[in-house]
Amino acid sequence: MLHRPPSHSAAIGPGAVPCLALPTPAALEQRQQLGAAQAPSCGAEAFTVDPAALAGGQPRKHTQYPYVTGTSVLGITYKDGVLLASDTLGAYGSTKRYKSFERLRKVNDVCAVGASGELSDFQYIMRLLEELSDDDFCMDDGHHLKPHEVHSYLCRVLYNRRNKFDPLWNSIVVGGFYGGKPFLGTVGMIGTNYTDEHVATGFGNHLARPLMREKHRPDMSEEEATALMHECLKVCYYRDKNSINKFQLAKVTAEGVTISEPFALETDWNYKLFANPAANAPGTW
Amino acid sequence: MDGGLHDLQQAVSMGTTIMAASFDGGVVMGADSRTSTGSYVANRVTDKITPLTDSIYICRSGSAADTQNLSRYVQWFLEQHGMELGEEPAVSTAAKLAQEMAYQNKNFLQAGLIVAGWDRHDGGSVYAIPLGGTLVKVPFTIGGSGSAYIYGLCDKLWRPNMTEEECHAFVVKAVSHAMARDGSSGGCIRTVVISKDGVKRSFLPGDRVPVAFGELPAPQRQPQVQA
Amino acid sequence: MSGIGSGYDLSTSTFSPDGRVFQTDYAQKAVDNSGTVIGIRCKDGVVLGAEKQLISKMLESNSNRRTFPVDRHAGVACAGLAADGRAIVSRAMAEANNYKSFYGDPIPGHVLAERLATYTHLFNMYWSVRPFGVSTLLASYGKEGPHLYLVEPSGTMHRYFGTAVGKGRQGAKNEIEKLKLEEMSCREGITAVAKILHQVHDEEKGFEMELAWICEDSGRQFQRVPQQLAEEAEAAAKAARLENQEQALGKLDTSLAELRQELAAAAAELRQELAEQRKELRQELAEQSKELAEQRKELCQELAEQRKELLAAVAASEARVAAAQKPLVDLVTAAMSALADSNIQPLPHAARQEQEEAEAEACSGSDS
Repeated sequence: MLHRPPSHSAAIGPGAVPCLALPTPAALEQRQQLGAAQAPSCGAEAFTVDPAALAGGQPRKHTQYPYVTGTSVLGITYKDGVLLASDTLGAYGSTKRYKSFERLRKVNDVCAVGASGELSDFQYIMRLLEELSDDDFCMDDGHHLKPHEVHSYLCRVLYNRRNKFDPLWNSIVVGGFYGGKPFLGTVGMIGTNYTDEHVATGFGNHLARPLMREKHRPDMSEEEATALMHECLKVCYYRDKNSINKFQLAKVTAEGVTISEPFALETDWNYKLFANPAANAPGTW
Repeated sequence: MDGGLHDLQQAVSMGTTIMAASFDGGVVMGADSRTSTGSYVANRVTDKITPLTDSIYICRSGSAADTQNLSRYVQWFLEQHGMELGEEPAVSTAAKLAQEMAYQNKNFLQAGLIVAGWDRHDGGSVYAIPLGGTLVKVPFTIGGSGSAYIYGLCDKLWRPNMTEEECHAFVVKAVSHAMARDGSSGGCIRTVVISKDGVKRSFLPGDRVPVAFGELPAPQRQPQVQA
Repeated sequence: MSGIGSGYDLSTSTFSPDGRVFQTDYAQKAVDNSGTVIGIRCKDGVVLGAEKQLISKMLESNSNRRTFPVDRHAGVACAGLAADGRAIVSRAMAEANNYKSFYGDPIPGHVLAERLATYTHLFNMYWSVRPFGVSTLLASYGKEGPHLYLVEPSGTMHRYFGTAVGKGRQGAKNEIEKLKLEEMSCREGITAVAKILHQVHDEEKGFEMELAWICEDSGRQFQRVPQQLAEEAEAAAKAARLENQEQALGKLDTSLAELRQELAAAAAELRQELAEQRKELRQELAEQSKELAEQRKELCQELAEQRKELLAAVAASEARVAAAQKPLVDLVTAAMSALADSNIQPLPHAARQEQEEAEAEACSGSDS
């Protein structure tokens, strides 16, 4: 009945939207306008530069780097749902600049996402997801995006953007609970994606997943799952220089999505040799 | 370089110290006044704190050209928006507009921004928009090349619920310490205090800037009235 | 004043000589014929209610929607052509979405209302389009608090405490004016709205009610009123309507009794009057008959006297006749005797005289 906002068509790219979703010629024209997603229907037109126009017909060069970044996001399934976890740091290079940046976000009552990588891109992605769930709200027909649909959508968006050589610099974890089953998936900045019973992005893949492989069971209780998460977070904090001891846990169960207040974990620095590592090894560093 | 005019051909850049901090009832913004092209100080009394509306200001760092033009666009959008809205735009709106332009054009801009101000819904608020176009609401923030030298100082000195005077003193102290260590920051200290009572600008001349470790205070001439 | 046939009603791009745009007026009429839609702004939110005429007995309940969310914090109720309404809703959604993605905040109610009004107005300006046959009630709850707006087919927009459009708008507006909106919560508001909708619904046919609200109870999100609350409100409305009807019936009963009493009193009075009249008449009659009897008596007396006189006169004249007859009789007797000799019978004269005397006596005998 109502066409999707044009920002989505642009994000997904041509051909990815069913034709009927844009039924009128007017809507089709609107979609082709430059910066249509930003243009208010009254008042000023948005200022957006068409990069192709600036390049003057030359091939476009994308020299994009991440500026403000988040580090690993972890996710595991358990008996009643899924847990996602991350710290709350927005790092600026190696400067730990924003220490209260919430990187776990609720999408709707059955789904939450967490992102590492460029946080401005994550904010953009969240805006897309908000638009989708606002749409679901407006349709008022009881339907909403399922976790696997959110995952699928993000895969399309990220893959399309990498095909334009203008990637969204994120690795995203999608966690959800629907139809009595937990869902856990991830998608990388070039569209690589998979689902599993435990996932992690970035450094977490190296630091946390070995622990998960060892200790994770799909029938874990919430306490067990939380304990495993804490252990993984702790290891990430010990060994990832761009992390801080300020974490959040997102829980998705049949009851819905809850995202915890930020918390710190107890860390252990009390091994005897830590105080004097060279005691038994003279000449060591 | 070779001591020639090579520096002058570089982009006009605000290697800078800028900051904004919130206090009970408003915000204080502060900045140094140095603009350089390479090693040459192109402008020693720059005003890097630009009004977006009557009660929202933006601190600019990065390319002077980029941030000036971006600010002009935001000013124009906000003027239009204020008319449609029938009241002063919110600080969050100004920040979002600046962020959107910084984000959508991130490959073409060098712009680190701080948007701060006062509106009747949210009171005083500070938004940081670093290079990639992320939008972060913060109690206080620092930016520009000089900021790297004062993270520790600011983390130590800032506390919530300061009075206006305390906050102003904090900003001046922080900027002066950045200027003391960062070659790209210098000159004077400009501050803008925004609260529900309006906007107060103040200006601390270069010879009055507090002196840090290892420097000497500038000899003070008897104050003269200049035409 | 009707424009039909005058040629000024063919397009919105032509004014009539007295300054009307008839197509716009007609669009308004499309709204005026639709089911009633009302909105009220209570102290903590806005309630919208729509009366949905049952276009078919086989229609699924909750279909034929009239209230639509257009963003989390805003929604509309449409009166008039449902299809036109959806076009407005679609536009409102696009405006809300666009505003949010550009300015980062939810669109304020008055901005959305103004943009919808501008959009609606565009369709009153060109030859190639027709105006929307839809009035839109817009409820929003943003920084500025809960607001209610009405956008009409002409493109005018106003903010209201409460208003109504559609068939029963006049009655509904009268009822809304009686409400104390600034003291009323939305919980109370939904019942009030339901009552009004049931009250102004006049036809025999049933209708389906659709209630939507935005308030603290709904988490400041525009949504249909939860089914249970809506059902409670509807039950209260129906009860109120029944009570109203019973009250009206009771009033009718008492007035009927009063009328009966009055009638009985009038009848009694009439009867008494009649009796008096009869009595008078009887008296009169008696007097008259008495008079008549006297008159008769007098007349009879007179008559008797006259007869007596007449009889006397007759006797005298008979005597005279007899005297005059004597010679004749003698003559006759002589003749008879002469005739007897010749066998002729004479007429017996004495018998005839006796018969006449008896008749005269009978006439005077009925006088007593």
